[in-house]
Amino acid sequence: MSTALLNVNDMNAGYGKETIIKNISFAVQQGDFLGIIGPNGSGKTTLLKVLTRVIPHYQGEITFENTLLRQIPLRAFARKVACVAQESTSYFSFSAEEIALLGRSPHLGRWQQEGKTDFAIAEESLRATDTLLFKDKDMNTLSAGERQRVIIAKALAQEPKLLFLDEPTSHLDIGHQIQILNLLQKLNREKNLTIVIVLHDLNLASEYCNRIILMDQGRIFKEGNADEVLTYKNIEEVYKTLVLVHKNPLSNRPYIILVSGKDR
Amino acid sequence: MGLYQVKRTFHIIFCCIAGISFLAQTSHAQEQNLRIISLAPATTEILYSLGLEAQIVGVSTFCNYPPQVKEKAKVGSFSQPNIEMILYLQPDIIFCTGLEQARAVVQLRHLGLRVHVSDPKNLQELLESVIKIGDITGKKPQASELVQHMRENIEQLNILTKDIPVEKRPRVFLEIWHDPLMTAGKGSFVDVMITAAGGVNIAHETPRPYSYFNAEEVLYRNPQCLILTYMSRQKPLERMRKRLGWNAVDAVRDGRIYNDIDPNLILRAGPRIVEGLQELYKRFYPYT
Amino acid sequence: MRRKSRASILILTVAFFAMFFLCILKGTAPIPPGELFQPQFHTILFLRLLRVLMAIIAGIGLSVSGIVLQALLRNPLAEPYLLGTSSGAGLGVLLAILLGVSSFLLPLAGFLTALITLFLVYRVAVHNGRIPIHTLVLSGAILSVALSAIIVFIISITANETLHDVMWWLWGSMQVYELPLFIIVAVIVTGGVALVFFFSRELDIFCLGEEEAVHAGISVENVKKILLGIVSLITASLVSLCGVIGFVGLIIPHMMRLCLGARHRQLLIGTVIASSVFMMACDLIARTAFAPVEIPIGVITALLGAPLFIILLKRKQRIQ
Repeated sequence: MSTALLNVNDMNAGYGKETIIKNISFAVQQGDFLGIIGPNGSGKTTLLKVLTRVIPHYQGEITFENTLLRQIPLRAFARKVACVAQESTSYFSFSAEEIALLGRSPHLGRWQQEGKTDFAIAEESLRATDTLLFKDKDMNTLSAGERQRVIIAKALAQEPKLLFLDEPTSHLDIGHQIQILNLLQKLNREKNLTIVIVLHDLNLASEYCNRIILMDQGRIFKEGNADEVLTYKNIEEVYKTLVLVHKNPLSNRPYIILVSGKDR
Repeated sequence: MGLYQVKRTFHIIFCCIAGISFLAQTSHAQEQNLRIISLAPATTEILYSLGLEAQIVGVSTFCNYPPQVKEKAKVGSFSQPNIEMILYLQPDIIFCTGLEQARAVVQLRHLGLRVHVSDPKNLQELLESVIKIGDITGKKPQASELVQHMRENIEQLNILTKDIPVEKRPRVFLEIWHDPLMTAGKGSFVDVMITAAGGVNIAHETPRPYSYFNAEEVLYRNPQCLILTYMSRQKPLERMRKRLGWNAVDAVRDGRIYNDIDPNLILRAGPRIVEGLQELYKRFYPYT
Repeated sequence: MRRKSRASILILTVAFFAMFFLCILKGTAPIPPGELFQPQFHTILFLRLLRVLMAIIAGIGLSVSGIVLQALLRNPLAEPYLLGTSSGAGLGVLLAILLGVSSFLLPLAGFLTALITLFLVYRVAVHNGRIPIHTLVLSGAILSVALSAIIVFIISITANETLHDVMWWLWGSMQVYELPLFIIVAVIVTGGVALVFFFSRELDIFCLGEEEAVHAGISVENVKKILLGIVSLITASLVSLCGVIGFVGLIIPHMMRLCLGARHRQLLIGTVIASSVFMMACDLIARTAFAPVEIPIGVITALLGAPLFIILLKRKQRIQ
C-alpha cells in the first residue's frame, strides 16, 4: 500500500491508435508541488489529460488514494481533484461569480441549489485570485489574464485535495504570474493542497516546485528536485538549446539564463 | 256507418293528407333554406346561377364573380379556409373542390360538417356536377335549365368544329405563367376546353394537369396560337419576341398572341365556360 | 443579478396569463367575449383553446431545444432544426401524401422519418462510442441539405397538387384538430423540458467545453446522448404536428440571455414563459391580422422577433 496520493505505473496513452506518452511511472505525495516541464510536443498536456480523466483510455496502472482511477466515479473524483485547463472560453456571458460558483457543482446534488456557504467559498476564491471586483462582470469583457484568474478561482472553489494546472500563467503579466504562484504556494503550505502544474517557464518551476518532471518525446527524461533536473546538460539535450545555469541568490534554486545568438 | 262517422273518417284522412303535405313542404322548404358556404370560385358561380345568392353565408377570398359576391363574408383563402369563421357562420353545407382543398375537406368533415366536393375533369363531369349541386340545394329545375343552356352552347360549338381535320386545327400553347414556364396538360379542365374549341393543346401529352414546361418543347412543337392567362405590363407580342429563338414560332411570327381572355372564363370549371369556349374559338379561328 | 431576474420572471408570468386570455377571447369569428361560452360556440372555443395550447407547447419545445443545442454545441447559431429534423420530417410527410396516406396519419409519418434522419445523423457522426460535436453539426447540415434536395426533386417530378399540401406544412400552423395527437406531443414536450431543467448545471458547465465538464465530474457522453435524445424527440414531434417554425428556437434563448443572464436555471424558466407569450402573440397576429386569411406563423415569428431582438441588443450595448 503506497502512501502516495497519486501513483502512475508504466502508463502508455495517446489519441486513437497513436501512443503519445510511454512508460510513464511516478508518484505524487500529498503536499507535493510538482512541476511538469518539457518542450512542445513532449506529451505534458496528454499526461495531464489522462490524469484528469479527459482521456479515458490508457494502458498501465494509475491509482488515486490507492484506488484504481478507472473505478472511481467521476463525480467523487471531481470532489477531490480539480483542473485548470489551458483554454476555457464560453461564447455565452457568464459573470465571474457565476463561473466561480460552477466550481461548487461536484459538491452539490442535482436538486440542490447553491447555499450561503457556496457563495462564500466562491467569493473567497475570487478574492484570492484578485478578481473579486469582476464579480458581476461578463467574462467576455475581461482580458485573457483576468479570465484565467477567474478560472483558477473556479478550481479553488472546488476545494480540491489535488489541483492540476496546465500552463495557468501563459496569459499573465509577471506581476500576476507571481501572485498566482504565491497563492498556490500558500495553499500548498497552509492547506496541504497538492499541486501538479505544467509550466513552460523553467525559472518559475525551479522557484516554486519541490519536485520536477522533465519530459521529452513522450517519456520522462528526468525526475527529481530542481537541482537534479535543471542542469545545463539536461536542458541542452531536451530543449536543444544552450543555457547557463546559475543559482538564484535569494532562494538558492537553479536559475536558467538564456544564451541569445550574439553571446554564443 | 252513420253520417257522423263518415264525416269523422273524412276529417281524419283530410288531416293526414294535410299534415303529410305540410311536412313534405317544410322539409322541402328546409332544404331550400340551407346555409351555404362555398370555397370554390367555380361552385360559387354555379350557386349564383341557380339563384342561391340569399343562402350563401360565406365564400373564399378567391370568389370574385358575380360582382355581388364582394358583399359576402369571407371565410379564408382558396387553400386555407378559416375553420373558426366557418363554424361561426353555422353552415349546413360547404362546397369545396379537390386538389389543394383536400386537406381542408378532411378537417371540416372531422368536425362533423357536411362537405360536398366537386372536381369535374371534363365537360360531362361539369354538367353532372351542376345537376348534383341542384339536387343538394333543392334547385333541381334551375339546375336542369342551366345544364340545358350549357349543353346547347357546347353542342353548337361542337357542330362548328367536329368536322375540322386535325391538321387544320391550330396548335395552341396555353401559358399559365411565364417564369418558370407553366402550362396545363391532360387532366386539367382547360385542356378539355382547348380541344372542345377546336384547338390542339401542344402540352396535351403531359400527364400532369399543371406542370412546368420546357421552352425548347414549345419551339419544337411550334404552336400557331399562344394564349396567356396572366396579366403583364409588357405587351405580349414584345415579350414573346424578347425570348431567345421564339421569333421562329408561328404564333409569334403571325402575331397570334392573346392575353385578353379573362382567365376565369377558361380556367374555372363553372357556368361561364360557354363564354370561354366562344372566346377561345374566336381566337383559334379568327377568319370564320 | 438575481433580484433582477426574479422581477423579469414575474413580469413574464403576468404577461403569460394576460396573453392567454386575450388569445382565447379574440379570434376571426366576431364573437363578443361574453357570448363565447355559450353552447353553440363550444367547438370554436375548443379549437381556439387547442390552438393556444399548441402555441405554448411549440414555443416551449422549440426554445428549450435551442438552448440545449446552443450549450452542447457551444454555438450561438445552433437551433432545433440543425440536426436535420425539419427536412427529414418534410420528406416523410411528402412521401406519405404521395402514397395517399390519410391526413390523420401524416404527423406520424413525419415523426418517424424525423427520427430516422436523426438516427442517421448520429450514426454518421459517432466515433468510438463518442459523439464529437463538430462532426454532429456537419453531419446534420449535410443530411439536411441532401434531404431538402430530394424533397425539391420529388416535388418537381410529381403533380402540382402535392406542392400545396407540403407548402402548408413547411410554413407551419398552430391549428390542430386531433386531440389525441396533441396530447401525445404535449406530454413529450413537457416531459422533455422538465428533464432538461434537471440538467441545468450540466448545461452551464457544457458552455465552458467538454473538458471542463469532465473536470466537474460529468459523464459527458451519457449526458450528451440523453440531452440530444430529448431534443430530437421534442423537435421531431413538434415538426410533424405543426410544421417548421423558424426563429423561435434560435432567438428566444438569446433574448432571454440578454435579460436574465446565461445561467440555465433561470434562463430555462424565463425562456419557457417568454416563448409561450411570444408564440401566443404570433399566433394571434397570424390568424387575426388579415382575417380570414391566415398568415403562416413562421413569417410572423421572424417579423416580430427580429426587431424585438435588435431593441434588446441595443439596450444592452448602451448599458455596457
